[in-house]
Amino acid sequence: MEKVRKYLKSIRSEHFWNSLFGNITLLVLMGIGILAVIISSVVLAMSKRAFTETYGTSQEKVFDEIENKFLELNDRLQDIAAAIDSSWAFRLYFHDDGQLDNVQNFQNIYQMERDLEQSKASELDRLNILVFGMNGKHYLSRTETISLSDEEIMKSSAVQNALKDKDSLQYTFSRGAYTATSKNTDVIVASKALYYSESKEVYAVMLVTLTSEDIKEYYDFFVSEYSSFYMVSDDGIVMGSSDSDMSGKQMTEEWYQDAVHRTSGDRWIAAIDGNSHTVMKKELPYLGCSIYGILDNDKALANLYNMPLLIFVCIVIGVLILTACIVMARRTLDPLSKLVGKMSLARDGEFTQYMPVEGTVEVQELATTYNYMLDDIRKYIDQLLETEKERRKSEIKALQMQINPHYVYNTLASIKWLVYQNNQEKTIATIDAFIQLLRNTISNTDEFITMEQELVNLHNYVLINQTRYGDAVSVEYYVSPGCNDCLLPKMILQPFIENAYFHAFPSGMRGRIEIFVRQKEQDLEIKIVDDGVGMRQEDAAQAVSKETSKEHYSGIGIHNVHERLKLLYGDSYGITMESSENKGTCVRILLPFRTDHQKGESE
Amino acid sequence: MCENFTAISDRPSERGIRMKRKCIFWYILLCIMVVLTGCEGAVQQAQETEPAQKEIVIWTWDETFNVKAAKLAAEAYMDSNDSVNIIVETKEREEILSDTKNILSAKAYEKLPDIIMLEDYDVQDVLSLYEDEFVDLTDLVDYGKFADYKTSLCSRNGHSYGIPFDSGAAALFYRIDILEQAGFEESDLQQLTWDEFITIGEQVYQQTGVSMLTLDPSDFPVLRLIMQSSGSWYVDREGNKADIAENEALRQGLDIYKRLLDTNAAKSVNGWNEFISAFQNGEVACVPSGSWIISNIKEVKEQSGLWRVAPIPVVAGDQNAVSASNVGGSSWYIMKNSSGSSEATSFLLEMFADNDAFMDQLITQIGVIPAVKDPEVYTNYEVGDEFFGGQKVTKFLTGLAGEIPVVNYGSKTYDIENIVEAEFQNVLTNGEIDMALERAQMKADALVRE
Repeated sequence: MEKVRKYLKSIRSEHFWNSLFGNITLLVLMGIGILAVIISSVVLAMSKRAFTETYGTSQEKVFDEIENKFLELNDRLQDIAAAIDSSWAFRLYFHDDGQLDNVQNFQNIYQMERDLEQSKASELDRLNILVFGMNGKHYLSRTETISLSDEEIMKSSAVQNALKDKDSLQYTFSRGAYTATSKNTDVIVASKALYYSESKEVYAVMLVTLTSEDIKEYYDFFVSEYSSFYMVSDDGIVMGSSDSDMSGKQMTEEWYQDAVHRTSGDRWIAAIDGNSHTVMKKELPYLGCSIYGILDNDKALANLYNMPLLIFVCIVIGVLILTACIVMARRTLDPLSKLVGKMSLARDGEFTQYMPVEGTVEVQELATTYNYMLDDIRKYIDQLLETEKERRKSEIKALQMQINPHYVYNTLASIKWLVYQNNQEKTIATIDAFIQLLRNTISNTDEFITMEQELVNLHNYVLINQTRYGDAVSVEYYVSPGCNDCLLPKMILQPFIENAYFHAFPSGMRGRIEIFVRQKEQDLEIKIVDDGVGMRQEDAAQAVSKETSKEHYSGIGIHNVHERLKLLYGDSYGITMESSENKGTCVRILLPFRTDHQKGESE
Repeated sequence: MCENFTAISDRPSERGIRMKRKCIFWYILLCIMVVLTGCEGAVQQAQETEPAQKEIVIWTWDETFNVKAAKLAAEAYMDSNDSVNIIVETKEREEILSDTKNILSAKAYEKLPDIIMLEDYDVQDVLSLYEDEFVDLTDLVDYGKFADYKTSLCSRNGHSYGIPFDSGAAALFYRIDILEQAGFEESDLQQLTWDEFITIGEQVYQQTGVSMLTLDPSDFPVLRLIMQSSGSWYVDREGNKADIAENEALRQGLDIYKRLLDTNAAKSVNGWNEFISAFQNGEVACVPSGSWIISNIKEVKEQSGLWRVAPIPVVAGDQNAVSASNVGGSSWYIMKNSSGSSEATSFLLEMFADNDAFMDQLITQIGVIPAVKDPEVYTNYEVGDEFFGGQKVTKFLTGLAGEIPVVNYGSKTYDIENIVEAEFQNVLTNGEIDMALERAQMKADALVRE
């Protein structure tokens, strides 16, 4: 959750869209969008054309079937007409001039039923057939009553049409037929005159009433939400239609005006109410009408493509791909951005920040190489530092090995003076001290000596100095127990005693130098305190960092000591000097507390 | 450095994980696609909402009677129930029968009407085939109030499926004016035998040229009327064996038919239209038929007061014969698997089972004779009918209804009748009734055999 919020926040920033990450997001979104729009519109346009064509073709087959069915109906009705015409029972019935008695009449009527029964196909079982005899007799096939008078039936256009053209079945649209149930419904009446072949005298008219419901069965399989059907008589009256409101009306539609002039079997595209429609036409001359099938292409197509779903799917896929891209990019780019961070650290001299090896192969290779490089650089720099240290060390070592010749001259001159005085005891002591001092300085090549040895050296040095300059300055030692075995670099205390001798007590001034040695936690603290003239604090600081006197016992001055301690132990160790005028000076030396035993380990 | 090496050695397994992740990704994508396509279906299904108004389709016949009753009921019911739209479709009796059977056998329930009317003769035929397709009304309708013969007609295996409508109680409706022309009075037409009836008919024809009744060579209602009044039928009491060759009432019936035709007491007609128009136009003086014919009789307003009603003639010499019978008569049935089945049930129960006031109204409007035991619940029951010269027609006919002998119609009434009709043609030619009946028995046996 937190991650996502962070990520969303990063998206809002200007920086995001400049990054590789932002570019990928933008590219993917645009790509998918353009792809979706282009493919959708191309496929839509292509399939629309293909659909209109194939749908039209397939519906045309269905439409043709309507023609077949009507043809079949016409044949069936012809058969019935023929059956009635050829039935002696019907002929007798309609030519009854009283020659039949009641029983014969009864038998004759039964025979009529049989004859008609045989001619009717099973699907036309309940057909409404009225045979209207010129002798005023009727035959009605259904269990209902005739609601029109004979005169009205005679005058009806169906009968008139049949009488006009005696040879063929006539189909007449009518609002309401002869029987009670069909009185108020739209019907098509198929009429056929039955006549004596020689005299052409009509003895009856067969009237078959087909209600719009009956007719519907012949085209209903074609009609759907997208297709409608019109059966239009030659004089433009709608005889039957899927749009029941149109039934019986004069056809005025624009497409029909165009359709009238087309030939039978045509299929064409017409714009009706601004929408694309496929119109089919068939002429049915035996029915005296034409049938038209109209397909609403746009409506059919609208259902074919569920636009909201299409868009939804595009968005879902887009989001999925984008997520996948982002995850992949993150996996690739995260190590890179880490690398960038580490590199900026390396610029600041941190060579220990290694890269974790992760992400893609390329990035892994990069990280590995970078780590190798970092290693090399660090090694190189370490080596460089080591070399420099070694150089400094040997330099200092060289310095501490040499003894100022002036010091030797002066000391020897002092001894000579003692010999003159014939102060044998003191002479011997001084020479002993000198010998020991020289041995420890020049002959002893160990860099580190124990505190005890260092103090012996200091004794000897102080003794010689007292011989040379008198006893005006006394030196006292305060060493905490346990500090005697402590190791320290050779000749680090001597320069401070020397410095105190020559600077703290000018022109034979009396004074004291105290040396305190103690362990302070893990460190060894040495303090050299004198009560001499002191100096300003600035001078004291300068004394540490600058070489001052040429009267040194050895090549090592105060500032060498400081530098040497730092080289040996690091920056946290070294010398601090506090001084104030006429009060004295305090030198504080801090180095790690190490004994002989520990020394061996550290080396 | 160490870190690097471990990372590198891990790489193959990481690639495996990535492959797995890829698989999971495609799997999720696939799932989403499947769900989406599924959704589409669901959405489309949801869009097909049902219309607010429930349609009840009723199939029935006879514009002057059943159809009219159904339309009146529909009108009254829709006034108080906005949620239903009742459509009454007029079809022929045979059409309803064959269409319903066809639909049920094809299980094309979407084409099924909700309510159909079945003539009592046809009921067992349909129930024997499709008993499960009808709403069982045994516990919904108080059958105690309907006449027993009627209840048994619309029941099978102890379950009742129909709501009885009209009784079909048969009577002799006659034109008093025509008979008076021939010198007969009302009293001459009471308690007749068929022999007496034929004699009267002969005289009437001779005097006025008008026949007594119509006979249709392809529909024998009078024969059925004669049989039931004698307590017999085309089949035996169990309904599973044709009873023709040994059937005295049938033999007598055919003899009566022949004599009626021979003496011109009967006029041959073809089809329903001629049957109706014959008595409406005064071409015949009588109509021996079910009470439902009254609505057709009353169509001709000018004949008001000219009609009378009397009990039907009986077969002479038959001790069992009563002057009461049944012709036609029908009941309402509800299709169990139609779309508006439950609404149709509520409608029928409310209008035709429990609604005495509505039936009372139908008595005056279409002259229905309710098939009930106790007609006194109807206020119009005892009203004199001016059309019949002030006769209490309803009371008279309901009184007859109680006397109708119960017979088992079986399931093949019209099929057997077709055989008899065909054989009767031979009788007319050679006069051999017994031979004709034997042949008919043979054919009917083949038909009835189960």
